[in-house]
Amino acid sequence: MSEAILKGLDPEAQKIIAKYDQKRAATLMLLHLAQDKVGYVTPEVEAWVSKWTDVPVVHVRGVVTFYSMYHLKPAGRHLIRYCTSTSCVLQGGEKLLCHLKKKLGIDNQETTRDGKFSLEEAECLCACEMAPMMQVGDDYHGDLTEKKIDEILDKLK
Amino acid sequence: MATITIDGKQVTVKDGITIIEAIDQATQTDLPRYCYHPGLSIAGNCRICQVEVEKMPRTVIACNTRVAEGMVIHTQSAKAKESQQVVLEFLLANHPLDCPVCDQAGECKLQDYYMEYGLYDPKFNDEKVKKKKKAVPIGPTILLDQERCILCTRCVRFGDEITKTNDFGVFNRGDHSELDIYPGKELNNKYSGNVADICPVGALTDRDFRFKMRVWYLGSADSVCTGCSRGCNIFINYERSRPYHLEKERVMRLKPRENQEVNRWWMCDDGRYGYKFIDTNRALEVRILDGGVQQKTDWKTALEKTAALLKKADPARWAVLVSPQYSNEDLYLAQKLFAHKLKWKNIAFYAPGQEGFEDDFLIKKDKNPNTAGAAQVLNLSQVAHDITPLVEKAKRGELDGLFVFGHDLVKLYGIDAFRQLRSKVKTLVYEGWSLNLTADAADVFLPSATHAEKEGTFTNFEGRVQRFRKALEPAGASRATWEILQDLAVLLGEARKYDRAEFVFEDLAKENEAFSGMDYKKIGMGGLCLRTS
Amino acid sequence: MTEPILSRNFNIADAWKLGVAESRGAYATAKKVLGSMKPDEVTHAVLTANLRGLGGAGFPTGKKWQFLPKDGKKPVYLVVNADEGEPGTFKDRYILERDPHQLIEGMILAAFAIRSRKAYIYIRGEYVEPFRRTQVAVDEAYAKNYLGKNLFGSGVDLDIVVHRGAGAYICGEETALLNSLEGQRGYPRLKPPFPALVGLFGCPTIVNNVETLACVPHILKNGAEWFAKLGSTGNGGTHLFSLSGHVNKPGVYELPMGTPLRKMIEVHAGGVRGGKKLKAVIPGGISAKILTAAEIDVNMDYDSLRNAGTMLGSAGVMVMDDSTCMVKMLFYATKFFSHESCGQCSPCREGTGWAHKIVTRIYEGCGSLKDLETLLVIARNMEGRTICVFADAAAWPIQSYITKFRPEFEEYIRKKKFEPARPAMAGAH
Repeated sequence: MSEAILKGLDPEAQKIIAKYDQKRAATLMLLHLAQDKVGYVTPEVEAWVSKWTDVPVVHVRGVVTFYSMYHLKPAGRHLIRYCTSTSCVLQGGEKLLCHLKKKLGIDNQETTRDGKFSLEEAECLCACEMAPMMQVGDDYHGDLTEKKIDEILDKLK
Repeated sequence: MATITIDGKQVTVKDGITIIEAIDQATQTDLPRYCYHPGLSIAGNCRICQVEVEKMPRTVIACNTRVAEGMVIHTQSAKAKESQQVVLEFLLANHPLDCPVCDQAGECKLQDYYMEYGLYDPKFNDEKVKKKKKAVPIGPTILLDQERCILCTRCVRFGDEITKTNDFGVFNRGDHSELDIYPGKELNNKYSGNVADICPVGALTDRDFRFKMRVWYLGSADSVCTGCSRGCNIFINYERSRPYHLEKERVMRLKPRENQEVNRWWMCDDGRYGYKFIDTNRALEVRILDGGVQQKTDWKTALEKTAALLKKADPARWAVLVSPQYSNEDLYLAQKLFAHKLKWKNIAFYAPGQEGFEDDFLIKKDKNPNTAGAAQVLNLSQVAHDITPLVEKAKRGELDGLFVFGHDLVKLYGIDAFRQLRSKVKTLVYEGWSLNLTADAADVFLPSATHAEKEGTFTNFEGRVQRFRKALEPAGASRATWEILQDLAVLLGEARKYDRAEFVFEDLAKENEAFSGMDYKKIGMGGLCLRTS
Repeated sequence: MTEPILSRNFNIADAWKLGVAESRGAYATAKKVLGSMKPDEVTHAVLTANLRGLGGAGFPTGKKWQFLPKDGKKPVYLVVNADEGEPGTFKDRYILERDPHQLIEGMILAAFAIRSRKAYIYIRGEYVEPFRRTQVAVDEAYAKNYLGKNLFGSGVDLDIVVHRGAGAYICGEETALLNSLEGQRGYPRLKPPFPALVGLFGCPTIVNNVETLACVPHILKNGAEWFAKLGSTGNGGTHLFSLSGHVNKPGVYELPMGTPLRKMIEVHAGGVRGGKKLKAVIPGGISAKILTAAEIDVNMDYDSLRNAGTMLGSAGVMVMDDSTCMVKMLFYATKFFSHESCGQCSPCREGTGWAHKIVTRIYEGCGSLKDLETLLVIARNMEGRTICVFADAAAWPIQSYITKFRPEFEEYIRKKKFEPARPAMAGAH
């Protein structure tokens, strides 16, 4: 299924590879590209990246599992990375996390049954000036309160 | 060159080598190490090869620190030992207490180094990390236990650098890191068995050897693999102290023996697992055809009958098929008997068409251990190597008798061809170690000892003469071929000269220019190359 | 100090776009320097300006540049470490989001000085908007030939590739960053050799922090002496300090190197929130040893803090009032390190996980006093025995929190206080 999508990404992959002095350096960017379009990293994605970079597929898997942002299983449409590091904890992040989990009905590393949200307890996202904060998709949301969390999530489709 | 001091002893080594290389070359110290392997790239991740170097503030790892003139190194100082010990404790923190059920016990580097450098009160008092694959086969030859793995990455580097098959990788991060193969693939390259050798712990274990025997019951003999003409140096590990424990098998496993000129540290799977013939399907009895059926007899009877046959044999109408499966000593006495004494013209040794797979690493297509030796010792023309013309002669009825060493003619030429041959050849004498249909049809069947059961030498494809040592007593009634040939020679009037294979080789070296100057001592366990003219 | 330097464009609308940035002076210095100075003169300026690496290690930048081989046998790479990940730090994000052209101009000057024609910016994966803006900025610079071939007609070339990480703190370690940039797992490399000799793709490489490079145009514009004088002895210039935690005004503050910590908290950041009492301050990101309230009369520069037994590190100042439970803080610190350990070498891989398990046990009320000793031993045993300093960084919070707040830990253990390590599970489903 993802093969068709990946074939469509070949031109983009070509452009990315051309920027780097060595093909394998494009690995992380190609994985981002493929994961964004396919939704997560499938064996086909790994084979596709391996083909473009000449990195043996076992080492592509090694890269995929090393970095927090690559997922081997489908995540929800909106991935929530909730910061659980020092400054966010200092600003009451724990209680808000409870609220968030109760609202979504899921725990860390889980996805809501309707496939809308996934939750990850993340390490420092380096936005401590707006602690407590979370990242939803690409966007940072800080100075969270229960009300603000509700607003942010309710707005998303 | 650089002069350095290791544990108070001054040594001179090549400048710029690593400290661990210097220690291994110039001292007897077994500095603890897991990730370091001389045949693989430096990883520096186990952190246990810690040494104290004067003028350096902290202990350093020996595998990635290079020597310099005047360096003073301590491997056993308090500082070094403390570093070694604390690293060991970290490695053992999450390591499962599997010793009672782990095959590695007795040759496990965690155990060995703990006894040498550990012996501390363990502080770890929490739950150990659990991993997904515990005792899971990852291919036909190897079993993986991720929890025992200390992530030294030797196997990863072996797959990336030596076999270039990229079998292994490390997945995940931190203490949830797992060694694994790509899901859906299996470890099936031709050298897969080596990863169990290089794994310092019981994470990668050999399926063939699994639960067979505790290693402290194993005896070991230095030997040579007979799987192909490379002659990889090996150890034959055999059951030594508990004969009542097993029914028949004596050889438990083969392991590669380091020889930088021949096989470095490695051996192929075909060779590694090709030892079953030593203990299965063996010819255990001396037999003579009597009343149309082979009957068990004793050596004296069989040898006397054979000698009588040989005495009457017309040199133009008998043929001997020796074999490149036999040692230089066997072949030399065969040549002395059949060529010099009996003056037979029909001599050959090589069965064609049996070549197999060859690669640019260790595996050779000639699956015999001593083709080069046979060619050199027997000194025949290239054309005369091939046994097929003699087999054809036999089929045409031009031979009265055939003396066959080892070749299973039924398997080589088919049952019909053999039947035709057998009908035309009046007398068939067979000498060999395995049971087969050719042997079953022999008038005299002399059981032979395998290379594991005798002393001798093979000459590999490069002309390297290598010794193999006797690991076991010959099974059943079998005997070393050179001893059998000597007995026949004595019955035909020769003097008894040799009570050791070594003395046979001495005479060979005197007579055959290619072997001149060689003796067992000089050959050692590293081998010597033939003199080429 | 009167005028903001590094942060002068932070609150100007659209200053991340080339039009606005250039109208405010971007690229003028690069244009001038490339046409009139020699590479070694630029290096000399950076050296005498006492510019220190502002990512955390504080190594003199000019000195690092001088480690490069001069034989020109292999191409030299410039790599920008934008993998900001140290908890408590967010200043590089501001530069990438609000003034990326300042970084690019700094890169042009640095590449010129080190004779590099190819540069990579490695931005942490989670910084999506900063990545987008930086990529736009680079594209805009290319469009005006401020990047590419023959910049400003000077004959100098520079290509920049903007690259994304994918979520691993350890990739902020410069050799791990190089491995990650090469498409591998983010494992730090054995040193020696150092990147200046063997770096990206085996070639001589300089890895510099975002803010470090952002300083370079200002050094060249106003002079090395000026820059050096702004700061304290041996620690030149201003620095972007990240203030967070229990302060009234968390944020990025550009202040001279050597500014007293007390002043930073009480004056600039508005003091402890709610007028509460100060309990502790982490001066330089989570790895830095903690200071008690009695220890904050210290100047914020590399040398002063080192002499005070801690470090400036990433200058991520985290302020804690007296409602803070230090056991909780250690729980979260050890959680961070055990999650982010790359796992390559044994003392760190096992030690960080082990330490977090013990602290979790203490946190949940099942600790013993002996556990505190064990934690200190684990920390001491990790230090100095690993491939990179992550293990040392992991050791320092353990050592400093337990040592400086020992009575609090002991009381927590004795009273069997309990905090659920997984606070949300109770009744979540």
